[in-house]
Amino acid sequence: MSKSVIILLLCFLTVSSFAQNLTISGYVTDQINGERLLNANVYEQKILRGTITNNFGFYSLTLPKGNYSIACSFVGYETSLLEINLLKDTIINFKLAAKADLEEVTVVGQKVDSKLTSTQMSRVDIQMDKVQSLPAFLGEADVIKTIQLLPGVQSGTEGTSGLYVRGGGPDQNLILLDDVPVYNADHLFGFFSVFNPDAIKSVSFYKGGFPARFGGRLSSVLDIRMKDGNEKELHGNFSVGLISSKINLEGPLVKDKTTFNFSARRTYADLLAQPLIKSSSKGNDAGGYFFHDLNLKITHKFNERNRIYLSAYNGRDKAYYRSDSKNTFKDENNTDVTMQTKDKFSLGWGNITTALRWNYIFSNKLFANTTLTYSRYLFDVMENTTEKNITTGQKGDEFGLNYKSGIEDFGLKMDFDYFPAPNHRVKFGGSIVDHTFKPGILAFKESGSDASSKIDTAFGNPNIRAQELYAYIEDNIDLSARFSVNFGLHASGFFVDNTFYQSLQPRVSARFMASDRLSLKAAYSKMSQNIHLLSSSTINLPTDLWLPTTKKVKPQTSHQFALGGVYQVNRAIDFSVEGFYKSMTNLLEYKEGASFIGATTGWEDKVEMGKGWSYGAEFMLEKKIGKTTGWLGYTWSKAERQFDNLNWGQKFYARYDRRHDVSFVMTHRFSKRFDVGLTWVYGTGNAVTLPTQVVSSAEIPTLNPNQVYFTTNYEYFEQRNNYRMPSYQRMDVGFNFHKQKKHGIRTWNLSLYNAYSRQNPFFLYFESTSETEYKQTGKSRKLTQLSLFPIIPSISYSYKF
Amino acid sequence: MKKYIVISLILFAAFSCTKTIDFDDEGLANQLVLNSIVYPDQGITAYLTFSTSILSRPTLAGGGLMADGTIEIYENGELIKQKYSPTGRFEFPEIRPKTGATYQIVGKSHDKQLKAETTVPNKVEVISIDTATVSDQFINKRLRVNVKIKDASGDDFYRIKVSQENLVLNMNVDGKGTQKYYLYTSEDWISSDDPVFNSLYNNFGGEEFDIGPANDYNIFPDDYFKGKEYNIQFFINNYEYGSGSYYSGYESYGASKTIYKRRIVHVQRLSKDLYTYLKYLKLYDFYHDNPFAEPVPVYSNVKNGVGIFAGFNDDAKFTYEKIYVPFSMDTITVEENSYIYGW
Repeated sequence: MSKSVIILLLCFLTVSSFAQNLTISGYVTDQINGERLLNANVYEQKILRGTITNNFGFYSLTLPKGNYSIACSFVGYETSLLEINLLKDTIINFKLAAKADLEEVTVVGQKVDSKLTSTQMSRVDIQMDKVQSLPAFLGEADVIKTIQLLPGVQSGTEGTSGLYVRGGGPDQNLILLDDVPVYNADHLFGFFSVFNPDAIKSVSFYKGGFPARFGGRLSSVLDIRMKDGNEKELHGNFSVGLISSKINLEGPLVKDKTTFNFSARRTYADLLAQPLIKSSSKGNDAGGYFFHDLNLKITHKFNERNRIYLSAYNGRDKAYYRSDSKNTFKDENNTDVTMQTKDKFSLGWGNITTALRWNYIFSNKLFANTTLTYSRYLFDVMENTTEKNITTGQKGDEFGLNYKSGIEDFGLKMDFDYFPAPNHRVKFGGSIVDHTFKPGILAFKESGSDASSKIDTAFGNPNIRAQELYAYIEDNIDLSARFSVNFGLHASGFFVDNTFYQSLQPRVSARFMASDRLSLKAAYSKMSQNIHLLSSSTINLPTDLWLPTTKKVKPQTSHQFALGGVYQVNRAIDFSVEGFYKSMTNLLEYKEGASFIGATTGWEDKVEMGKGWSYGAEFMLEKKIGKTTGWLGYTWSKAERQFDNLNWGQKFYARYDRRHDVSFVMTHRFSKRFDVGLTWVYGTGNAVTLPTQVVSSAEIPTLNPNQVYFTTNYEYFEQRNNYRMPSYQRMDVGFNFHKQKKHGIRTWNLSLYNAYSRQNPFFLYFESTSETEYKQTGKSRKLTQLSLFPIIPSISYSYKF
Repeated sequence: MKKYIVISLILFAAFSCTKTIDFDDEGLANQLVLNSIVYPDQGITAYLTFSTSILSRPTLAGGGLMADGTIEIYENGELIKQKYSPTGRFEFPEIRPKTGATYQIVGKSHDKQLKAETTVPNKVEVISIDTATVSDQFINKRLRVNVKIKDASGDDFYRIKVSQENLVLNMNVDGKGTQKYYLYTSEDWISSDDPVFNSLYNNFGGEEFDIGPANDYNIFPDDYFKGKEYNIQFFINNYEYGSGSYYSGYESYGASKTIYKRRIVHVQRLSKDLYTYLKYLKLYDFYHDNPFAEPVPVYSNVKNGVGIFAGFNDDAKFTYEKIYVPFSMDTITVEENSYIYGW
């Protein structure tokens, strides 16, 4: 490790030789709405030195004195050119104009050739217009469902938003919304994600070669940034779909100083169902399910050096039921007595995230961002029943139950971007987070007419506090015109239960330009994860619990190696290949027989720790420009696990081990008024444990030599995850009809989810055959597949102004 | 919580549809299964069966298809017996397994051959047994038993069993005043708060849904007392002999007379294979119908097949006697077919 430190010091020494040069710095923004553009290119055209903007649209480019032609470009925008005689440090803010010809919009990639030239590998930037143009499940465009279409990413079970990246688990993804971790990104058991596309500016997804600034999860980082808001004038859009409606408004609070962006989304199946429920219960009952999301971001520019950003998200799912019934009977005096029973039940879960960020430009080479974060995930169940004697007015029995679990974080984070020279881009910083894990408290209340029968108690695990901190430094160096390296170190610590875990995690990525069209890349990352998700193995449930590393349950770690190349077939088409090998330790799995039900107590005794490996190759042919855009992806991979106390210590396939995975994504713009999106996915079936035979058990001797226990039968399987579900296939098609109206553009979207109605496996089980079936086949049981979604058409209307 | 699960299932059911899918049960060749548990001073009995397809109706109440074939038994590597059976049941009354000896068994049926091996463990060193009558929280009397054992070095596995014997004189068997002696034996349920029992399946009594299986086999490893002495405490409920059992009724009519009653406490040392087999058999039995539970495999130590070949040693006994009527076993003949019940 000391070698890494020495290399870092040498780099800084190298940097000092550029100290006498001059610096151009500033922001790159959209000319129309003032939105800051992330990862925009700023480069000198003759000597081909350049840089890119950071996550806040800031750049810094250091050059010797002289005359230069500075270009600034960004995907979908006209390139801006500026001739400058550089005599002193200069601030230049580029304002780019969007291209009028939308056919040239690049759909994926931070810039047209970034995939080829970037040092970073295993990263994809998703453009939000791509997300919006792809077919949508029930009319809801979804960022995470788009990411599931990328090579190396699997979706878990049918329809859900879980991410299984390069053989990792669903708990190994760091999902950041404006730098704040989101602990449960699911609505409705994972069929929708919590991210409302209207509120999102950019999405970057890393599945390997992790830069040192990220840490805390083994398998992926999903970095989502919310829109800042239009600086110039009020704009917005709204849409109405089959299950939800949403609205987005953005504009200046103080022109060119303060902006806001507000989005809201709510489902309304519960509202539509109310009349039915009320009519069937004579107006006494109510119930339903809904989810909502609220996003708000306010940005204020004090001056060119100081900006603050306040971003907040609140999302919640709730299922509820209320009933009010009256029952009249005769008491022992033959008098009519009417008893009223009120029953209330609710089940809810949701996230709140808040980030207060302060950008400060110390100098034209040093940019700082300080962030205060708050994140909370809460799951709660409430049930309350009260009885009342209406005839006498006397209170009857009362029963109440309240269960809560979740996690709450407060954090402070500082990130610095230092631009010492055009061929160096240094990032460093650190963070401290105070976690409060709430593994579950059950409050129970019961009282009757008899005062002596009152119960008011609570039981469960106490909250667990833990502190997590990290520091990092990384440097992106162009060692020559062809060879660049990004290396860094991420050091983390976790303090819990009087125990301190520490980890030093080196990260290296390198890129070599073999020719103008071919780049070769390699990366290594060590990652460490101090919090664990106790999750059911089948579907994403809100009961899934985040729990800390403890004395008994150690941090998960991984080492990932990746090797690949990008070949630019022509200006529009890239072909990329990546191979990876990932080893993981201290992975968690439930013990044999254990389940998520009741897992809150003594959870450490219900899990086993073990090792995992995954390796594979990913291929992607991508067309980024033109009327037709999209990609064809293929992944061959293998994911295995080995736990000393599971499967008798033998290796077994991970549940989401998927040998072949194919995705085809295409959008075609027929005209400005009509475009089509199509996706098709194929994946090898998931590995599940399924008994194949019935075996008789041994006769266990009793204390009497003439007697034995009864023998019984048990179902036998060769090993854990021994059986492959049928393959998964799905085609989705979406049609978008746009029309320019007086105040904006309206769009009708028609989508077909699972267009050829393939019955995909969700769950397999054995059931008894009918007598007729038995006579025909001679089998007393059959294997039955439960599928969730047949073809589902949907329609939505949106209007953008 | 139950409502939540129900709501989830209803939601899934609302969208879902089902279909039967092909399952290649024919392609999964039936496994040859061997089951035999051996202990000193008792002849060896082994069973050879074939497993049946998961889609088939089991043909035998106790298992799969009985397999005709041969069994060879080796003691410390030397073949000591070979036998053919057309029924799949093999009895070797002449072989008395020896403490510390290693036995191999080779089973052949049709074109399949399996193999397994076990060692009969040493007897347990029981230092003392102490009993006392106590009352539980409901003021029911029960017998508290403390058994102190000395654990040997290495990994050891134990099992506690308790039985009771009642020698009863039926004074009028045929209505003509004919007297006969009957020895009734039964096994007792025991209960315990001792962590050696309760930690096996992580039973945390406070949980609403998942209390885990009961440790019915009363097995435990030596994790808590490796190489040391340990006092195991357990209770025998309703310890008054005969209460609730059918023969107590006869006494009340004066038709029978209890000669003596006694309890026998057994501490058995199990081979690791047998301990693991019993542990997982119970775990399987408890969870295999639970769709939310992780799958449980039943342990097997049979190579090229399935099943269990394992040994135990049961020599440590303690007798707690209560004699009602003076007698001498030399002067009485105990009738056969005494009633045996229990676990």
